[in-house]
Amino acid sequence: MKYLSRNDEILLLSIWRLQDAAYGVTIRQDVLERAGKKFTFGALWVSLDNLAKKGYVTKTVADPTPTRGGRGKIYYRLTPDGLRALQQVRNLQQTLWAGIPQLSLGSG
Amino acid sequence: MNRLRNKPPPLAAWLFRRVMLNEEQATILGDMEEHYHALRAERGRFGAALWYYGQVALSLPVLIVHAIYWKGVMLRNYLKTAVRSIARQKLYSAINIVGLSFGMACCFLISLYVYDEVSYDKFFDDGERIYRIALERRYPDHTRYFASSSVMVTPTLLANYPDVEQATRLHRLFFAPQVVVTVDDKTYQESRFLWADSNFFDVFSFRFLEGDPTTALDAPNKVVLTDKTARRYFGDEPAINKTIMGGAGEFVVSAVIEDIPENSHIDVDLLGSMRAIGYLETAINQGNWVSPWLYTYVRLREGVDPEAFQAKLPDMVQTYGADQIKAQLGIAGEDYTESGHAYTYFLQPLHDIHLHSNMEVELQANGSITYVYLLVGLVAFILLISCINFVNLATARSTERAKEVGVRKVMGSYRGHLIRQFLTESIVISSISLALAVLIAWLFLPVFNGLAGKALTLGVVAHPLVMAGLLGFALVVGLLAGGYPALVISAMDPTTVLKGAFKSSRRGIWLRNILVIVQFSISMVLISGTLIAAQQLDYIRTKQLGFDKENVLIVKQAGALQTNMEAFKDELRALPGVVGVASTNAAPGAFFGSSIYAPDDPDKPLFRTNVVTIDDDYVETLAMTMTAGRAFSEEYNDSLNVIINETAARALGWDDPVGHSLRESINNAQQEARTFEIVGVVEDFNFQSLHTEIAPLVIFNGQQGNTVAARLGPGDVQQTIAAIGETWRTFVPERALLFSFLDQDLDALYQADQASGRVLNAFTLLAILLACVGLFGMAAYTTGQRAKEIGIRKVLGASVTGIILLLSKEFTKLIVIAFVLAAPLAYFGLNWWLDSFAYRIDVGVMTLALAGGLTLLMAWLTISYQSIKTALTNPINSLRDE
Repeated sequence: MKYLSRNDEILLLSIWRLQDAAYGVTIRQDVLERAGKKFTFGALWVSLDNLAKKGYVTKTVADPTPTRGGRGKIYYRLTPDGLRALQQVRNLQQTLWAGIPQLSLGSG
Repeated sequence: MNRLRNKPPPLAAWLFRRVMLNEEQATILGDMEEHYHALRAERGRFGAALWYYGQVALSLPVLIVHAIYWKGVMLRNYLKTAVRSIARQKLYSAINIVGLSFGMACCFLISLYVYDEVSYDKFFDDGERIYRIALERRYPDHTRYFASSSVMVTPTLLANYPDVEQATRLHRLFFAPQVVVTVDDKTYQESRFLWADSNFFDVFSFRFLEGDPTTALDAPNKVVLTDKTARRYFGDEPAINKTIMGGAGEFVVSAVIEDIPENSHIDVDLLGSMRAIGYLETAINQGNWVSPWLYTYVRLREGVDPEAFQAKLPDMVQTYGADQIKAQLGIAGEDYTESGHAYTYFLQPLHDIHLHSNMEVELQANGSITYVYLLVGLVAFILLISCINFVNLATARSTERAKEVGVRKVMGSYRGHLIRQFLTESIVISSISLALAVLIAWLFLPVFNGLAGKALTLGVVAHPLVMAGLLGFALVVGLLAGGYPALVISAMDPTTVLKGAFKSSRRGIWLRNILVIVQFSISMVLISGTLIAAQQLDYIRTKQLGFDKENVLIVKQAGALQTNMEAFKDELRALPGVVGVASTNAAPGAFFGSSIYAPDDPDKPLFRTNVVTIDDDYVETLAMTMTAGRAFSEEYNDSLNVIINETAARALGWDDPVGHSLRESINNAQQEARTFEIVGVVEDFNFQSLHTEIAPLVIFNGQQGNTVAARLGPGDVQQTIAAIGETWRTFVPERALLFSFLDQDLDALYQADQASGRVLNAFTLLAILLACVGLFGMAAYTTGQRAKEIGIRKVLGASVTGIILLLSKEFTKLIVIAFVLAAPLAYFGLNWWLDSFAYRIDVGVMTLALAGGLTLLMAWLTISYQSIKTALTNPINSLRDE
């Protein structure tokens, strides 16, 4: 059983949250705001392409718009496999954390 | 605002687009541009542009790594499928791999050979500035080309031509190339004892193991040995300063050089000082510009244009040599060139000597660029045949693979993927073949070396560059052979294929037929070549030469007998197995000197002719025929009489030359020109190789000679040879008899032809085998396809023979067409080759027909296995599944 990497988890969650508005610029912005992770657009595309090749997301190419220099966008959408994978890491997280005494930081 | 100024930095965008691998990645550019506009509002144009550059710079490496990673994943998948497909089709794959690997192995061997041939003399330092000076010698009625030149060229160039950085001379003993060397009571026959100027090593960068290059040859009694020779003489002891006896004189070993690589036209075991050769010293003192007795090599200064330098050479002869030439040729008047004589020297680049020079008195038998081209052509044919096999088999199998392609397409394969899949398959096959080919080449290298007379090694294969080349080669062959089938099969329409309507396309059949025709045309041309080459060599071996070459034992170096020559000949005559004995200075096939004579008719021009000296018994012993006059005889004093051959008689233009006379054309104060009377005309005999026509020959009488010819009668040859050896020992106790047989000596003149014949045979055989292998594979598939048809025919009463004929008919048609195409090709090609012989056979129609018949027979035999098998199959087996 292979779990999602943290990177993939962050990206998939972001796509899920953005729903129909999930494309390069919005995903990058969302990840930056919530996780503080800064992707270059190239690296972002590569990670998303890998997710697509694994079957967790599908790509839809939309028509070009003028603000984008006449280039199209790719909208990303979660597949059932993608959702299931997210579910799995969440369950894992909960199982692992269940019954752990309160953590305290520092010497307190 | 300017539209352009709103854009992100164009250079960065352009760079990104150049590297971008697919259209989808253009959307990244869109994303970046969208963000760029947002940033511009926030940070200004400069800040946004900086950010944009950063994005491009950081994105590109990630994208490239990503692309490579996924290519690798796909490739692994292609490879896996390819290996499975190859393993599933065992017969097909085996035929392909065997065919290709033999083709490639040929390619290697020939490449090694060609590489060796073109690498001659490349190892010398500054070799591109070294030239040999060769001579075009024009006589009033003909022109001869000599690799050698006059002794005067080198000193004249060094003294007067600043273009020349260094010039040196090299001499080979033309008449008696074998020198007896004695070292500590042991004697050796040395045939590669050459003689050079003291500055020889300044031009030719031989590596010295011991001794000093500058002083190695600065005295007449010094000699330089190669490492091999030094070991032969002295074992592991140091050779330097040791004394050896060579010919008449004593020599001190002054230096030892590394063995000279095989790929050099200068092949030497011992190198003595030129000053040890008396007649060369005399020629230098006389200022002799007439006799081309040695080889001149020059190294031009850097930047000197060889063409321009060469243009100065005729003038050099005029300026420095004209007087001497006039005196020597006995020509009065201002200009000897008006009488039709000319000495034109020209440059031969050192690197071209081996493959491009084939003149008189070469240092060694050179290779030939024609032969190299011939081999390259052959290997191209063989490779073509194996690639054709591959294509043919693949298209023949396309019906079978069509289903696979259909299913793959339905499942969503793109055409590009299928093409890649098929190409991967053929590249895997060609790579396996490559590995096998190296093995085959290694196995057959000794055989090939034997055929080609070389000592090649596969050592170069270990060189990384060669390795890369080989892999590239496998790739190219794979792409070439797999390209067509990949395109055709991948283009099939899945709906037609899966409905089962698809059999095999018309186009495929046409292509296949054309390829089979090409293959068999090539085979036929090669077979006729083999047959004609064999016939020509046989013709040469059995041609009437004008004398009887069988059973003649030649005693070489008989000069050692000195005054005992007559006694030795008499003792040989007394031996039971000997029928006749005679002596000469040069047996047929050996080096014949030449000289100039003035006919007694003052209207006739000076006459250049080959010369030879024979004794009274020679004409009878070699069974030559006199057509006019008489042969030399004991009853006459023939010392001032000569015999000429028919060609000489024609050249002189005398219907009845007997009684005419020839005067020596020399101009020498110490010697008076002698006049010789012609007493007989001998029927033309081939005293040189049959590549050249019979030249004029003047035969002198003399009882001395360096060669004794003994005709052996019936009886035990071994015993006779032993007896002759014994007799020799009684006269020359210090060394053993040196002998050969005349017919073998003459055969040796055609060694190069025989070697090419053998190589041609071997590769022809291979080409035909490969063509047959391909045909076998094709027959297997096409008859397989017709299994049902044949089943029905049998049920309806067709006979086994009828079916075999039916199946053979189609191939027979192709082979007949191939014959029609190949016959003229073979005819002209072979005539061209035969033109290199002065005495040649004609290309017979029967031979061409025979070649065609053989090809047809071979093709029938090949397909017979398949057709008989199919014809004998019980129809139940082929018809039950419908």
